[in-house]
Amino acid sequence: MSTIADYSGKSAVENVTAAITGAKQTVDFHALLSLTEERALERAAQVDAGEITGRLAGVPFVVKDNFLTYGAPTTAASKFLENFNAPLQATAIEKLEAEGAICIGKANLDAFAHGGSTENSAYGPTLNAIDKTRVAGGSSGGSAVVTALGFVPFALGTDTGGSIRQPASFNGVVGVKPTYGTVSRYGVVAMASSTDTIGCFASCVADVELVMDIMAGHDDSDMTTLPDFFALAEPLGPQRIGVIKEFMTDDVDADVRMRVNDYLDKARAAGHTVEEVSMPILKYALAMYYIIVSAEISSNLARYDGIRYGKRAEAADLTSVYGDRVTKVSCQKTNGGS
Amino acid sequence: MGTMTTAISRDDVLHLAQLSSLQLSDDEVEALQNDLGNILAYVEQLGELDTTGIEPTYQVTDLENVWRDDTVRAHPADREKLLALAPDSMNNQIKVPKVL
Repeated sequence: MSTIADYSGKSAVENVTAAITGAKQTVDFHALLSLTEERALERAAQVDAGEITGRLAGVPFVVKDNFLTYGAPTTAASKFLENFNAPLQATAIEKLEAEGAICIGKANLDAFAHGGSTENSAYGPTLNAIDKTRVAGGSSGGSAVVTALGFVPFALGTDTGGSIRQPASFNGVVGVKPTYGTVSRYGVVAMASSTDTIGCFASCVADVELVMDIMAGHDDSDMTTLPDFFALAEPLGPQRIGVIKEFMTDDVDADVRMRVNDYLDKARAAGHTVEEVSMPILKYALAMYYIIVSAEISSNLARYDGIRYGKRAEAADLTSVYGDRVTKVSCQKTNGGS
Repeated sequence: MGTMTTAISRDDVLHLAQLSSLQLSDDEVEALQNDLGNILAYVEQLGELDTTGIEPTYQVTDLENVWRDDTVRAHPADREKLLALAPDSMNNQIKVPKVL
């Protein structure tokens, strides 16, 4: 894996060329849906000419293909948006570009971020970076895999119900799912607006911290963003770390349990205290999640009706665009009871 | 997960399909009868919780009345670019199949 420091102070054109070569050499993982080669090289030349400067000047990165970007279509891994060329860029992308970072490609995902394996992509599954016979995790599977493969030092993802944390774990990279409201979602394909968050993957904590510091903050275009919420961490003294009892049941794989316990031992050795805490409400979390998220997905995806963009079904009138049977809905059935 | 199931009739599935404008085969109707029953049974475990006196969580950010100045901001895309995204357009408007 690579770190952001590996790229600083070097020719941006060389950084970008090397990253694109790395991407092309690892196409068998199917981690990327498109390359933004032309735009990336143009921006790299501008960095080398001193026209763009910043904390990430000339550093290549990859973004999940549900972020609106220039330079390649934004498909959300759906055939419906196969030819959708975004008319604007997500705030997160704009902020990274303002610091000189260069997007080289768009990562595969479960279509519309619906899934946990990156097998639910209309363009085929992404393979795990460590073992090709296993799933990449998801929905931000492509972003986790490119980070693990190391041809970019960081990649962006979205997390609504584990879509950064879980693929980060499956591919052995650092993933951060921030507190709701930390990063603007403007220009990112919405899934469930009550829980959608934007975060990133990298090989080390220092790099995710830098990327989050750049992306975080209030945005007039996303009224749920918190002002000045994110701050670079001061060196910490001894902390109390809570281990959630309900997450460490007998169902947890023995190897995973061992790794977690090893980590806790390291934390204790570093002077922190570790305490078991119980959150009995967690038993109900998934049932609550599936009520809220399904309802919000229904609302958010209503826009993919082929009217303003995307594919439109050939039909004689507007009603038929949505399907033939809709004209036969009976009004006899009431909604009372269940 | 419990083994409780909630009965979903064939008519329930067909009604939902009509509301959703979905055309389902007979096999799909049968499969959905099962799946929807299982899904409802799963979320019904929430009925065990006593929520008496608990206020609904409307939001978690504590942000209230978020305003911005009512000023015109430049959009990165012009009218032509936005209209070009639509499947069909005419006279600077998005064209849709006839409504009535």
